[in-house]
Amino acid sequence: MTESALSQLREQLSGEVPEAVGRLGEAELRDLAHAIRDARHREGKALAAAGERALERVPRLLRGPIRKVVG
Amino acid sequence: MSRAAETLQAHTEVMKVARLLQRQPESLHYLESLGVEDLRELRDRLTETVFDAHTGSLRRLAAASRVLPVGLSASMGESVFGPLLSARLTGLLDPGRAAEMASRLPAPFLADVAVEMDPRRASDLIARIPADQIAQITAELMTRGEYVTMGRFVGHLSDEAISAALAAMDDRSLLGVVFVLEDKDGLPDLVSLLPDARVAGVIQAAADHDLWVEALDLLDHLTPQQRDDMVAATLLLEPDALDSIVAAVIAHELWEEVLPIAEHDATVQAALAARVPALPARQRRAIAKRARKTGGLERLGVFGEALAGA
Repeated sequence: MTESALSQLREQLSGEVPEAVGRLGEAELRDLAHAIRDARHREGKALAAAGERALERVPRLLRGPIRKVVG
Repeated sequence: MSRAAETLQAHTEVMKVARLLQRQPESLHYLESLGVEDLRELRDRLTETVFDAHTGSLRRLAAASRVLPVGLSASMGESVFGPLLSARLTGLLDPGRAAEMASRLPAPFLADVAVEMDPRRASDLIARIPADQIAQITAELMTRGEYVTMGRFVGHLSDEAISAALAAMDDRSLLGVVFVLEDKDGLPDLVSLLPDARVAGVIQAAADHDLWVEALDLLDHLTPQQRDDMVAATLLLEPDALDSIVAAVIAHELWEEVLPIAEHDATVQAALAARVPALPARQRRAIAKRARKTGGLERLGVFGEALAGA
């Protein structure tokens, strides 16, 4: 069971988990993996929303060039 | 590092991790079972993960900001993107342009951004912020007790900016900041930038706020001359303050760290000597070994005599 929590954390960190961290209990490893995932999701959503709001603040003339850059 | 200092440093590291993950530090208390070095390794990995999670979108936004007037970019940083996303963007912007944007933003917002930044990713930008603006941001961070944030920036500032920051900081904050520095090898250089009067001020702050774990940790990282100056300032404190040092040594096992002070004060020596028989033999031997290495047991008076039997 601990292995699956460790895998989750490994996936969130995109690589090996520091050795000492890997010795934490399953509940802790799972909590840490969830915390990383939640932080990334929260930030991704905030970024998308801010991008939309920013475009509304840009003068109309510049919206074309900005859209070209942002893609 | 004393065990007490290590415990406090581990707590500090957990605070940094919690900030990265936008969690309350208490919810990650289980991480405090890890050592300081392990926590730093974890934090480095988390920093990479969190900062690189949306690099593509952030790079495109940074590129788009070049199309806009600097003033508009700065204003949108504050009103649209906010401190967290602005912090993620800082390392991706052209440093000169980012410094110009910063010059148009208020210190409280820049302090918010500093809290969320990874200074290692924006070193070129930080170096371009004028010293007086660094002082304003420092003053803001100080009122919030953000010692951890201030400590993370120290290694990225010029001497001029550090001097300005130190001048903006009170003595209690200074002690808090130097304690959480990750690279303490630079402490002698940092302390050398302080006016002489500040050394006494820092010691007085330790006495006023019972911060002897922090003060003795600082003492442990200084040059012999700086240590002598700090010890001299300590010996000028009221007797009550010296009693509080002895109490801290006993409570937090700061026996090795207190040696530079103990060798100059007979009252401290007597108070410590009285506690030596209660120490485990192994600990007595470790303290005696350190004392012999740093000047000899005979310099410690009755405290040295008590240790000599170890």
